[in-house]
Amino acid sequence: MYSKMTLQGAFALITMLLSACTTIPDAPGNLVPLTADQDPSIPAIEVNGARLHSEAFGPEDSTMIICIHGGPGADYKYMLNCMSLAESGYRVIFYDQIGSGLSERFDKSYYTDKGADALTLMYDELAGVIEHYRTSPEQKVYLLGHSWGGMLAAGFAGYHPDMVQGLVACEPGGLIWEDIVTYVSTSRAFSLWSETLNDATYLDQFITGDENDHETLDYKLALLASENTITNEYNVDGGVWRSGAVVNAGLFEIGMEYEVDLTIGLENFTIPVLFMYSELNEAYPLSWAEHVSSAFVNASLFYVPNAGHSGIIQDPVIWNTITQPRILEYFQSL
Amino acid sequence: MSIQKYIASLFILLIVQQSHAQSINWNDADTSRPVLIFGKFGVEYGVCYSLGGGYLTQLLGFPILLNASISLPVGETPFDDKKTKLGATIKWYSYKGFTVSTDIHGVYRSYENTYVHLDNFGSDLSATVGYYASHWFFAGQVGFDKAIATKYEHTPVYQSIYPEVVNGWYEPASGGNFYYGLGAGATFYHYTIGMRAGKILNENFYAGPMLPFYGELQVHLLF
Repeated sequence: MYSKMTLQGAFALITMLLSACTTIPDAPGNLVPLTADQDPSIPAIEVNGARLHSEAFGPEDSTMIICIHGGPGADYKYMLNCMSLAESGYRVIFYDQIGSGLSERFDKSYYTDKGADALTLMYDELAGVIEHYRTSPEQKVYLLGHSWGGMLAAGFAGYHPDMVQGLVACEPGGLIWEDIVTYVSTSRAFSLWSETLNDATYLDQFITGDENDHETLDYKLALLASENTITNEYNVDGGVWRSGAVVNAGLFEIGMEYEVDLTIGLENFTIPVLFMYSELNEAYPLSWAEHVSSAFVNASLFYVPNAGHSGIIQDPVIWNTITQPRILEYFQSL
Repeated sequence: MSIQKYIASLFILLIVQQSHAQSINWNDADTSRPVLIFGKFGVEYGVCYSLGGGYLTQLLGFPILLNASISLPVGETPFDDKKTKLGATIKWYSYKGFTVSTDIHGVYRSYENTYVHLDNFGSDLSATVGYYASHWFFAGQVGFDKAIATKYEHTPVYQSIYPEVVNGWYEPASGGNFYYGLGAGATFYHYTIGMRAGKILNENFYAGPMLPFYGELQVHLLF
Protein backbone atom coordinates (compact mmCIF):
# COMPACT_ATOMS: atom_id res chain seq x y z
CA MET A 1 0.00 0.00 0.00
CA TYR A 2 2.80 2.37 1.02
CA SER A 3 4.81 1.69 -2.15
CA LYS A 4 1.70 2.17 -4.34
CA MET A 5 1.07 5.56 -2.74
CA THR A 6 4.72 6.50 -3.15
CA LEU A 7 4.59 5.53 -6.82
CA GLN A 8 1.42 7.55 -7.40
CA GLY A 9 2.93 10.53 -5.62
CA ALA A 10 6.13 10.33 -7.63
CA PHE A 11 4.16 10.10 -10.89
CA ALA A 12 2.04 13.12 -9.93
CA LEU A 13 5.18 15.11 -9.02
CA ILE A 14 6.91 14.25 -12.30
CA THR A 15 3.79 15.20 -14.27
CA MET A 16 3.52 18.50 -12.39
CA LEU A 17 7.19 19.32 -12.90
CA LEU A 18 7.05 18.47 -16.60
CA SER A 19 3.92 20.48 -17.25
CA ALA A 20 5.25 23.39 -15.20
CA CYS A 21 8.54 23.85 -17.03
CA THR A 22 8.08 22.56 -20.56
CA THR A 23 7.51 24.35 -23.82
CA ILE A 24 5.63 23.19 -26.89
CA PRO A 25 8.10 22.58 -29.77
CA ASP A 26 5.81 23.61 -32.63
CA ALA A 27 4.44 26.77 -31.01
CA PRO A 28 5.19 29.80 -33.22
CA GLY A 29 8.27 31.74 -32.23
CA ASN A 30 9.85 29.24 -29.85
CA LEU A 31 12.47 27.66 -32.09
CA VAL A 32 12.20 29.68 -35.31
CA PRO A 33 11.11 33.26 -36.02
CA LEU A 34 7.55 34.24 -36.88
CA THR A 35 6.65 34.78 -40.52
CA ALA A 36 5.33 37.95 -42.17
CA ASP A 37 1.70 36.81 -41.93
CA GLN A 38 2.17 36.21 -38.18
CA ASP A 39 4.15 39.37 -37.39
CA PRO A 40 2.96 42.62 -39.03
CA SER A 41 6.23 44.39 -38.19
CA ILE A 42 8.09 42.29 -40.81
CA PRO A 43 8.40 44.22 -44.11
CA ALA A 44 6.27 42.39 -46.65
CA ILE A 45 4.38 42.55 -49.92
CA GLU A 46 1.35 40.60 -51.18
CA VAL A 47 2.01 38.58 -54.31
CA ASN A 48 -0.43 36.11 -55.83
CA GLY A 49 -2.20 35.56 -52.51
CA ALA A 50 0.94 35.02 -50.44
CA ARG A 51 2.53 37.44 -47.97
CA LEU A 52 6.20 37.63 -48.88
CA HIS A 53 8.95 39.08 -46.73
CA SER A 54 10.51 41.71 -48.98
CA GLU A 55 12.58 44.90 -48.97
CA ALA A 56 13.90 47.27 -51.64
CA PHE A 57 16.76 49.77 -51.58
CA GLY A 58 17.97 52.48 -53.96
CA PRO A 59 16.20 54.86 -56.36
CA GLU A 60 12.71 53.58 -57.21
CA ASP A 61 12.88 54.36 -60.93
CA SER A 62 16.33 53.00 -61.70
CA THR A 63 17.23 49.59 -63.12
CA MET A 64 15.97 46.83 -60.84
CA ILE A 65 18.22 44.08 -59.53
CA ILE A 66 16.15 41.21 -58.14
CA CYS A 67 18.18 39.11 -55.68
CA ILE A 68 16.95 35.51 -55.77
CA HIS A 69 18.04 33.29 -52.89
CA GLY A 70 18.91 29.61 -52.88
CA GLY A 71 17.32 26.54 -51.40
CA PRO A 72 14.58 25.95 -52.26
CA GLY A 73 13.81 27.02 -48.74
CA ALA A 74 16.67 29.35 -47.78
CA ASP A 75 16.15 33.11 -47.53
CA TYR A 76 17.74 36.38 -48.61
CA LYS A 77 19.59 37.15 -45.37
CA TYR A 78 22.85 35.77 -46.72
CA MET A 79 22.49 37.97 -49.82
CA LEU A 80 22.20 41.26 -47.94
CA ASN A 81 25.70 42.28 -49.06
CA CYS A 82 24.03 42.91 -52.43
CA MET A 83 22.38 45.94 -50.82
CA SER A 84 25.57 47.87 -51.64
CA LEU A 85 24.61 47.73 -55.33
CA ALA A 86 22.08 50.45 -54.45
CA GLU A 87 25.02 52.80 -53.85
CA SER A 88 25.81 52.44 -57.55
CA GLY A 89 22.35 53.71 -58.43
CA TYR A 90 20.41 50.46 -58.82
CA ARG A 91 17.07 49.56 -57.29
CA VAL A 92 17.98 46.43 -55.30
CA ILE A 93 15.08 44.16 -54.39
CA PHE A 94 15.05 41.23 -52.00
CA TYR A 95 12.26 38.77 -51.34
CA ASP A 96 11.89 35.48 -49.52
CA GLN A 97 10.23 33.01 -51.85
CA ILE A 98 6.90 31.49 -50.89
CA GLY A 99 7.24 29.10 -47.96
CA SER A 100 10.83 30.26 -47.32
CA GLY A 101 12.52 32.56 -44.84
CA LEU A 102 10.02 34.89 -43.23
CA SER A 103 7.41 34.54 -45.98
CA GLU A 104 4.03 32.87 -45.49
CA ARG A 105 3.88 29.08 -45.21
CA PHE A 106 1.58 26.75 -47.14
CA ASP A 107 0.91 23.04 -46.86
CA LYS A 108 2.97 20.69 -49.00
CA SER A 109 -0.07 19.84 -51.10
CA TYR A 110 -0.24 23.50 -52.16
CA TYR A 111 2.87 22.78 -54.25
CA THR A 112 2.49 19.12 -55.09
CA ASP A 113 -1.14 19.47 -56.23
CA LYS A 114 0.08 21.82 -58.96
CA GLY A 115 2.28 19.10 -60.40
CA ALA A 116 4.76 20.39 -62.97
CA ASP A 117 3.03 23.79 -62.77
CA ALA A 118 4.61 24.36 -59.36
CA LEU A 119 7.57 25.82 -61.24
CA THR A 120 5.18 28.21 -62.95
CA LEU A 121 4.05 29.23 -59.46
CA MET A 122 7.63 30.29 -58.72
CA TYR A 123 7.92 32.11 -62.08
CA ASP A 124 4.59 33.89 -61.48
CA GLU A 125 5.76 34.88 -58.03
CA LEU A 126 8.95 36.41 -59.44
CA ALA A 127 6.92 38.21 -62.11
CA GLY A 128 4.62 39.45 -59.32
CA VAL A 129 7.57 40.82 -57.34
CA ILE A 130 8.84 42.64 -60.44
CA GLU A 131 5.38 44.09 -61.08
CA HIS A 132 5.03 45.17 -57.46
CA TYR A 133 8.20 47.27 -57.54
CA ARG A 134 8.18 48.38 -61.18
CA THR A 135 7.41 52.07 -61.66
CA SER A 136 7.35 52.13 -65.47
CA PRO A 137 7.18 49.60 -68.32
CA GLU A 138 10.62 50.76 -69.53
CA GLN A 139 12.35 50.02 -66.24
CA LYS A 140 15.04 47.37 -66.83
CA VAL A 141 15.21 44.15 -64.80
CA TYR A 142 18.43 42.31 -63.91
CA LEU A 143 18.26 39.00 -62.06
CA LEU A 144 20.95 37.97 -59.56
CA GLY A 145 20.34 34.37 -58.55
CA HIS A 146 22.41 32.23 -56.25
CA SER A 147 22.29 28.39 -56.24
CA TRP A 148 18.61 27.43 -56.54
CA GLY A 149 18.01 31.15 -57.11
CA GLY A 150 20.28 30.93 -60.18
CA MET A 151 18.27 27.96 -61.41
CA LEU A 152 15.02 29.86 -60.89
CA ALA A 153 16.45 32.92 -62.64
CA ALA A 154 17.47 30.76 -65.63
CA GLY A 155 14.04 29.12 -65.81
CA PHE A 156 12.37 32.52 -65.58
CA ALA A 157 14.57 33.96 -68.33
CA GLY A 158 13.51 31.12 -70.61
CA TYR A 159 9.85 31.50 -69.59
CA HIS A 160 9.79 35.32 -69.92
CA PRO A 161 12.79 36.20 -72.12
CA ASP A 162 11.46 39.70 -72.76
CA MET A 163 11.15 40.56 -69.06
CA VAL A 164 14.86 40.12 -68.27
CA GLN A 165 17.63 42.44 -69.49
CA GLY A 166 20.52 40.91 -67.51
CA LEU A 167 21.27 37.71 -65.58
CA VAL A 168 23.91 36.74 -63.04
CA ALA A 169 23.83 33.05 -62.06
CA CYS A 170 26.01 31.98 -59.14
CA GLU A 171 26.55 28.22 -58.99
CA PRO A 172 23.12 26.98 -60.04
CA GLY A 173 23.31 23.27 -59.17
CA GLY A 174 21.97 22.12 -62.53
CA LEU A 175 19.31 23.18 -65.00
CA ILE A 176 17.97 19.75 -65.97
CA TRP A 177 16.82 17.15 -63.48
CA GLU A 178 19.65 14.72 -64.17
CA ASP A 179 22.20 17.45 -63.41
CA ILE A 180 20.32 18.54 -60.30
CA VAL A 181 20.44 14.99 -58.94
CA THR A 182 24.14 14.73 -59.78
CA TYR A 183 24.95 18.02 -58.06
CA VAL A 184 22.88 17.32 -54.96
CA SER A 185 24.47 13.88 -54.63
CA THR A 186 27.99 15.22 -55.15
CA SER A 187 27.55 18.14 -52.76
CA ARG A 188 26.27 15.83 -50.02
CA ALA A 189 28.54 12.83 -50.55
CA PHE A 190 29.80 12.88 -46.98
CA SER A 191 32.06 10.15 -45.70
CA LEU A 192 30.30 7.36 -43.83
CA TRP A 193 32.63 8.07 -40.91
CA SER A 194 32.17 11.83 -40.86
CA GLU A 195 30.66 13.98 -38.16
CA THR A 196 28.67 15.87 -40.81
CA LEU A 197 26.80 12.77 -41.99
CA ASN A 198 26.16 11.46 -38.52
CA ASP A 199 25.01 14.88 -37.27
CA ALA A 200 22.47 14.87 -40.09
CA THR A 201 21.19 11.34 -39.62
CA TYR A 202 21.36 11.06 -35.82
CA LEU A 203 18.92 13.96 -35.41
CA ASP A 204 16.05 11.88 -36.83
CA GLN A 205 15.53 10.11 -33.51
CA PHE A 206 15.07 13.42 -31.65
CA ILE A 207 12.85 15.41 -33.99
CA THR A 208 10.34 14.15 -36.54
CA GLY A 209 7.28 16.37 -37.11
CA ASP A 210 4.17 16.08 -39.25
CA GLU A 211 4.23 16.73 -42.97
CA ASN A 212 3.05 20.33 -42.51
CA ASP A 213 4.47 21.03 -39.07
CA HIS A 214 6.34 24.09 -40.35
CA GLU A 215 7.94 25.20 -37.09
CA THR A 216 9.42 21.80 -36.29
CA LEU A 217 10.48 20.94 -39.84
CA ASP A 218 11.96 24.39 -40.55
CA TYR A 219 13.98 24.15 -37.34
CA LYS A 220 15.19 20.67 -38.21
CA LEU A 221 16.23 21.78 -41.70
CA ALA A 222 18.19 24.66 -40.16
CA LEU A 223 20.08 22.20 -37.96
CA LEU A 224 20.80 19.95 -40.93
CA ALA A 225 22.00 22.81 -43.13
CA SER A 226 24.25 24.41 -40.54
CA GLU A 227 27.39 23.47 -42.43
CA ASN A 228 28.63 21.61 -45.47
CA THR A 229 32.27 20.62 -45.70
CA ILE A 230 32.02 19.80 -49.42
CA THR A 231 30.52 23.04 -50.71
CA ASN A 232 32.31 24.89 -47.91
CA GLU A 233 29.29 26.91 -46.96
CA TYR A 234 28.80 27.68 -43.32
CA ASN A 235 25.54 29.22 -42.18
CA VAL A 236 27.13 30.10 -38.88
CA ASP A 237 27.36 33.83 -39.41
CA GLY A 238 23.65 34.41 -39.23
CA GLY A 239 23.22 33.25 -42.81
CA VAL A 240 19.53 32.30 -42.72
CA TRP A 241 16.56 33.70 -40.80
CA ARG A 242 14.41 30.60 -41.19
CA SER A 243 14.55 27.58 -43.48
CA GLY A 244 11.51 26.48 -45.47
CA ALA A 245 11.35 22.72 -45.13
CA VAL A 246 7.92 22.12 -46.64
CA VAL A 247 8.49 24.08 -49.85
CA ASN A 248 11.89 22.41 -50.11
CA ALA A 249 10.34 18.94 -49.83
CA GLY A 250 7.43 19.85 -52.12
CA LEU A 251 9.60 21.20 -54.94
CA PHE A 252 12.04 18.30 -54.73
CA GLU A 253 9.14 15.87 -54.91
CA ILE A 254 7.83 17.61 -58.00
CA GLY A 255 11.29 17.74 -59.52
CA MET A 256 11.68 14.02 -59.05
CA GLU A 257 8.24 13.12 -60.38
CA TYR A 258 8.24 15.41 -63.42
CA GLU A 259 12.00 15.63 -64.04
CA VAL A 260 11.84 19.39 -64.30
CA ASP A 261 13.72 21.23 -67.02
CA LEU A 262 14.79 24.79 -66.36
CA THR A 263 16.35 25.22 -69.81
CA ILE A 264 13.00 25.40 -71.60
CA GLY A 265 12.94 28.55 -73.72
CA LEU A 266 16.53 29.56 -72.89
CA GLU A 267 17.39 29.48 -76.59
CA ASN A 268 15.27 32.64 -76.85
CA PHE A 269 17.26 34.42 -74.17
CA THR A 270 20.24 35.80 -76.06
CA ILE A 271 21.44 38.47 -73.62
CA PRO A 272 24.92 37.74 -72.21
CA VAL A 273 24.88 35.91 -68.88
CA LEU A 274 27.48 36.23 -66.13
CA PHE A 275 28.04 32.77 -64.62
CA MET A 276 30.01 32.60 -61.36
CA TYR A 277 31.57 29.62 -59.60
CA SER A 278 33.78 29.37 -56.53
CA GLU A 279 37.16 27.89 -55.75
CA LEU A 280 36.21 26.13 -52.50
CA ASN A 281 33.01 24.40 -53.56
CA GLU A 282 34.43 20.96 -54.29
CA ALA A 283 31.21 19.95 -56.04
CA TYR A 284 31.52 22.80 -58.54
CA PRO A 285 34.76 22.48 -60.54
CA LEU A 286 35.35 24.30 -63.82
CA SER A 287 34.09 21.28 -65.77
CA TRP A 288 30.73 21.44 -63.98
CA ALA A 289 30.48 25.21 -64.48
CA GLU A 290 31.16 24.72 -68.21
CA HIS A 291 28.59 21.94 -68.38
CA VAL A 292 25.78 23.79 -66.61
CA SER A 293 26.44 27.14 -68.27
CA SER A 294 26.31 25.54 -71.72
CA ALA A 295 22.51 25.79 -71.54
CA PHE A 296 22.79 29.56 -72.01
CA VAL A 297 23.23 31.00 -75.51
CA ASN A 298 25.88 33.43 -74.34
CA ALA A 299 27.47 32.86 -70.92
CA SER A 300 30.82 34.04 -69.61
CA LEU A 301 32.34 32.20 -66.69
CA PHE A 302 33.86 33.98 -63.72
CA TYR A 303 35.98 32.18 -61.13
CA VAL A 304 35.72 33.46 -57.54
CA PRO A 305 38.86 32.52 -55.58
CA ASN A 306 38.92 31.83 -51.83
CA ALA A 307 35.14 31.48 -51.62
CA GLY A 308 32.80 28.55 -51.03
CA HIS A 309 29.29 28.14 -52.36
CA SER A 310 27.59 30.89 -50.37
CA GLY A 311 30.78 32.88 -49.79
CA ILE A 312 30.58 34.26 -53.35
CA ILE A 313 27.96 36.64 -51.99
CA GLN A 314 27.89 36.13 -48.22
CA ASP A 315 31.57 36.74 -47.47
CA PRO A 316 31.89 40.55 -47.19
CA VAL A 317 35.55 40.63 -48.24
CA ILE A 318 34.93 38.44 -51.30
CA TRP A 319 31.82 40.44 -52.14
CA ASN A 320 33.49 43.83 -51.89
CA THR A 321 36.75 42.95 -53.61
CA ILE A 322 35.82 40.33 -56.20
CA THR A 323 32.13 39.59 -56.75
CA GLN A 324 30.58 43.05 -56.69
CA PRO A 325 33.20 44.72 -58.94
CA ARG A 326 32.71 41.99 -61.56
CA ILE A 327 28.91 42.22 -61.34
CA LEU A 328 28.99 46.00 -61.72
CA GLU A 329 31.32 45.65 -64.70
CA TYR A 330 28.88 43.17 -66.23
CA PHE A 331 25.81 45.34 -65.61
CA GLN A 332 27.57 48.37 -67.08
CA SER A 333 28.35 46.36 -70.22
CA LEU A 334 24.69 45.60 -70.92
CA MET B 1 42.83 7.11 -37.96
CA SER B 2 40.45 8.67 -35.40
CA ILE B 3 39.88 6.97 -32.09
CA GLN B 4 36.33 6.04 -33.12
CA LYS B 5 37.49 4.45 -36.37
CA TYR B 6 40.07 2.58 -34.35
CA ILE B 7 37.50 1.27 -31.88
CA ALA B 8 35.10 0.35 -34.69
CA SER B 9 37.84 -1.50 -36.54
CA LEU B 10 38.82 -3.38 -33.38
CA PHE B 11 35.22 -4.35 -32.90
CA ILE B 12 34.91 -5.70 -36.44
CA LEU B 13 38.09 -7.72 -35.82
CA LEU B 14 36.60 -9.03 -32.59
CA ILE B 15 33.52 -10.25 -34.41
CA VAL B 16 35.56 -11.94 -37.12
CA GLN B 17 37.97 -13.61 -34.70
CA GLN B 18 35.34 -14.94 -32.35
CA SER B 19 32.99 -16.16 -35.03
CA HIS B 20 30.82 -17.34 -32.22
CA ALA B 21 28.31 -15.29 -30.83
CA GLN B 22 24.36 -12.24 -30.94
CA SER B 23 21.07 -11.10 -29.58
CA ILE B 24 20.12 -13.42 -26.86
CA ASN B 25 19.34 -16.95 -27.91
CA TRP B 26 16.64 -17.93 -25.42
CA ASN B 27 17.47 -21.57 -25.97
CA ASP B 28 20.95 -20.96 -24.62
CA ALA B 29 19.86 -18.72 -21.75
CA ASP B 30 19.52 -20.14 -18.28
CA THR B 31 20.14 -18.72 -14.85
CA SER B 32 23.25 -20.84 -14.36
CA ARG B 33 24.99 -18.40 -16.69
CA PRO B 34 23.22 -15.20 -15.71
CA VAL B 35 25.68 -12.56 -16.91
CA LEU B 36 25.58 -11.26 -20.46
CA ILE B 37 27.92 -8.91 -22.23
CA PHE B 38 27.40 -7.78 -25.77
CA GLY B 39 28.73 -5.52 -28.47
CA LYS B 40 27.13 -4.25 -31.65
CA PHE B 41 28.23 -2.44 -34.75
CA GLY B 42 26.05 -1.22 -37.57
CA VAL B 43 23.77 1.47 -38.92
CA GLU B 44 20.96 2.99 -36.89
CA TYR B 45 20.49 6.76 -37.39
CA GLY B 46 24.15 6.78 -38.40
CA VAL B 47 27.09 4.43 -38.19
CA CYS B 48 27.16 3.37 -34.54
CA TYR B 49 28.84 0.96 -32.21
CA SER B 50 27.54 -0.03 -28.81
CA LEU B 51 28.51 -2.01 -25.75
CA GLY B 52 26.31 -3.36 -23.01
CA GLY B 53 25.64 -5.94 -20.38
CA GLY B 54 22.81 -7.71 -18.67
CA TYR B 55 21.70 -10.07 -15.92
CA LEU B 56 19.36 -12.98 -16.46
CA THR B 57 16.87 -13.82 -13.74
CA GLN B 58 13.26 -14.80 -13.15
CA LEU B 59 10.34 -12.48 -12.40
CA LEU B 60 6.95 -13.97 -11.51
CA GLY B 61 8.01 -17.12 -13.30
CA PHE B 62 9.06 -15.35 -16.50
CA PRO B 63 12.69 -15.26 -17.65
CA ILE B 64 13.82 -11.65 -17.67
CA LEU B 65 17.07 -10.12 -18.87
CA LEU B 66 17.82 -6.82 -17.14
CA ASN B 67 20.19 -4.91 -19.39
CA ALA B 68 21.88 -1.61 -20.12
CA SER B 69 23.84 -0.33 -23.10
CA ILE B 70 25.53 2.71 -24.57
CA SER B 71 25.67 3.48 -28.27
CA LEU B 72 27.92 6.02 -29.96
CA PRO B 73 27.91 7.19 -33.57
CA VAL B 74 31.21 7.61 -35.40
CA GLY B 75 32.49 11.08 -36.24
CA GLU B 76 35.37 13.44 -35.66
CA THR B 77 33.95 14.65 -32.31
CA PRO B 78 33.77 11.70 -29.92
CA PHE B 79 30.99 11.43 -27.32
CA ASP B 80 29.04 14.55 -28.42
CA ASP B 81 26.20 12.28 -29.57
CA LYS B 82 25.19 9.19 -27.61
CA LYS B 83 22.31 6.93 -26.65
CA THR B 84 21.99 4.91 -23.45
CA LYS B 85 19.28 2.36 -22.78
CA LEU B 86 18.23 0.75 -19.53
CA GLY B 87 15.50 -1.84 -19.31
CA ALA B 88 14.47 -5.43 -19.61
CA THR B 89 13.80 -8.18 -22.12
CA ILE B 90 11.06 -10.55 -20.97
CA LYS B 91 10.29 -13.97 -22.40
CA TRP B 92 6.51 -14.36 -22.12
CA TYR B 93 5.77 -17.55 -23.98
CA SER B 94 7.59 -20.48 -25.50
CA TYR B 95 6.39 -23.63 -27.26
CA LYS B 96 8.73 -26.09 -29.00
CA GLY B 97 11.27 -23.35 -29.70
CA PHE B 98 8.76 -20.71 -30.80
CA THR B 99 9.14 -17.80 -28.42
CA VAL B 100 7.43 -14.47 -27.81
CA SER B 101 9.36 -11.76 -25.96
CA THR B 102 9.20 -8.02 -25.43
CA ASP B 103 11.76 -5.34 -24.78
CA ILE B 104 11.04 -2.27 -22.69
CA HIS B 105 13.75 0.36 -22.34
CA GLY B 106 14.06 3.83 -20.99
CA VAL B 107 16.29 5.88 -23.27
CA TYR B 108 18.54 8.84 -22.63
CA ARG B 109 20.25 10.34 -25.66
CA SER B 110 22.10 13.52 -26.49
CA TYR B 111 23.02 15.34 -29.66
CA GLU B 112 25.23 18.30 -30.44
CA ASN B 113 26.05 20.34 -33.50
CA THR B 114 26.94 23.91 -34.37
CA TYR B 115 23.52 25.22 -33.35
CA VAL B 116 22.26 23.20 -30.40
CA HIS B 117 22.79 20.64 -27.66
CA LEU B 118 19.83 18.30 -27.15
CA ASP B 119 19.17 16.02 -24.17
CA ASN B 120 16.28 13.64 -24.57
CA PHE B 121 14.45 11.13 -22.43
CA GLY B 122 12.38 8.58 -24.29
CA SER B 123 11.28 4.99 -24.48
CA ASP B 124 11.89 2.07 -26.78
CA LEU B 125 9.32 -0.73 -26.80
CA SER B 126 9.46 -3.77 -29.05
CA ALA B 127 8.03 -7.24 -29.48
CA THR B 128 9.92 -10.20 -30.96
CA VAL B 129 8.59 -13.49 -32.24
CA GLY B 130 11.08 -16.14 -33.24
CA TYR B 131 12.20 -19.71 -33.45
CA TYR B 132 15.11 -20.57 -31.17
CA ALA B 133 17.04 -23.84 -31.61
CA SER B 134 20.13 -24.90 -29.67
CA HIS B 135 22.61 -23.41 -32.08
CA TRP B 136 20.64 -20.94 -34.13
CA PHE B 137 17.61 -18.71 -34.14
CA PHE B 138 15.49 -16.64 -36.48
CA ALA B 139 13.18 -13.85 -35.31
CA GLY B 140 11.01 -10.93 -36.43
CA GLN B 141 10.78 -7.69 -34.47
CA VAL B 142 8.41 -4.70 -34.36
CA GLY B 143 9.12 -1.68 -32.17
CA PHE B 144 8.52 1.98 -31.43
CA ASP B 145 11.18 4.44 -30.32
CA LYS B 146 9.72 7.61 -28.81
CA ALA B 147 11.50 10.84 -27.90
CA ILE B 148 9.26 11.95 -25.02
CA ALA B 149 10.82 15.13 -23.64
CA THR B 150 13.77 17.06 -25.01
CA LYS B 151 15.90 19.81 -23.56
CA TYR B 152 17.18 22.37 -26.08
CA GLU B 153 20.28 24.42 -25.25
CA HIS B 154 21.20 26.61 -28.20
CA THR B 155 24.74 27.72 -28.93
CA PRO B 156 25.71 31.38 -29.27
CA VAL B 157 25.81 30.75 -33.02
CA TYR B 158 22.10 29.93 -33.23
CA GLN B 159 21.26 32.63 -30.69
CA SER B 160 22.96 35.13 -32.99
CA ILE B 161 20.70 33.92 -35.80
CA TYR B 162 17.53 33.91 -33.69
CA PRO B 163 18.03 35.74 -30.38
CA GLU B 164 14.46 35.04 -29.20
CA VAL B 165 14.90 31.25 -29.33
CA VAL B 166 13.51 29.58 -26.20
CA ASN B 167 15.85 27.18 -24.41
CA GLY B 168 14.65 24.51 -21.98
CA TRP B 169 12.55 21.37 -21.85
CA TYR B 170 10.15 20.79 -24.72
CA GLU B 171 7.23 18.48 -24.34
CA PRO B 172 5.03 16.78 -25.64
CA ALA B 173 7.07 14.40 -27.67
CA SER B 174 9.34 15.90 -30.30
CA GLY B 175 9.73 12.73 -32.31
CA GLY B 176 9.11 9.05 -32.69
CA ASN B 177 9.84 6.25 -35.13
CA PHE B 178 8.47 2.78 -35.76
CA TYR B 179 10.82 0.01 -36.84
CA TYR B 180 10.41 -3.54 -37.98
CA GLY B 181 12.79 -6.16 -39.25
CA LEU B 182 14.30 -9.60 -39.08
CA GLY B 183 17.21 -11.08 -37.19
CA ALA B 184 19.11 -14.34 -37.12
CA GLY B 185 22.06 -15.80 -35.32
CA ALA B 186 24.16 -18.78 -34.45
CA THR B 187 25.30 -19.92 -30.98
CA PHE B 188 28.48 -21.79 -30.04
CA TYR B 189 29.82 -22.31 -26.52
CA HIS B 190 27.53 -19.58 -25.11
CA TYR B 191 28.69 -17.09 -27.69
CA THR B 192 26.05 -15.88 -30.09
CA ILE B 193 26.89 -13.99 -33.25
CA GLY B 194 23.97 -12.55 -35.08
CA MET B 195 22.61 -9.81 -37.21
CA ARG B 196 19.41 -7.86 -37.53
CA ALA B 197 18.15 -5.52 -40.21
CA GLY B 198 14.95 -3.70 -40.98
CA LYS B 199 13.14 -0.53 -41.84
CA ILE B 200 12.48 2.65 -39.86
CA LEU B 201 9.36 4.74 -40.40
CA ASN B 202 8.38 8.13 -39.05
CA GLU B 203 5.58 7.84 -36.45
CA ASN B 204 3.33 9.72 -38.87
CA PHE B 205 4.02 7.15 -41.59
CA TYR B 206 4.45 9.85 -44.26
CA ALA B 207 8.20 9.57 -44.44
CA GLY B 208 11.23 7.86 -43.02
CA PRO B 209 14.37 9.26 -41.49
CA MET B 210 17.32 10.17 -43.68
CA LEU B 211 18.65 6.63 -43.12
CA PRO B 212 15.32 4.74 -43.31
CA PHE B 213 16.81 1.39 -42.34
CA TYR B 214 18.89 -0.23 -39.65
CA GLY B 215 21.30 -3.13 -39.71
CA GLU B 216 23.83 -4.39 -37.23
CA LEU B 217 26.13 -7.21 -36.28
CA GLN B 218 25.99 -8.34 -32.68
CA VAL B 219 28.14 -10.47 -30.43
CA HIS B 220 26.69 -11.82 -27.18
CA LEU B 221 28.38 -13.86 -24.49
CA LEU B 222 26.65 -15.52 -21.54
CA PHE B 223 28.77 -16.60 -18.59
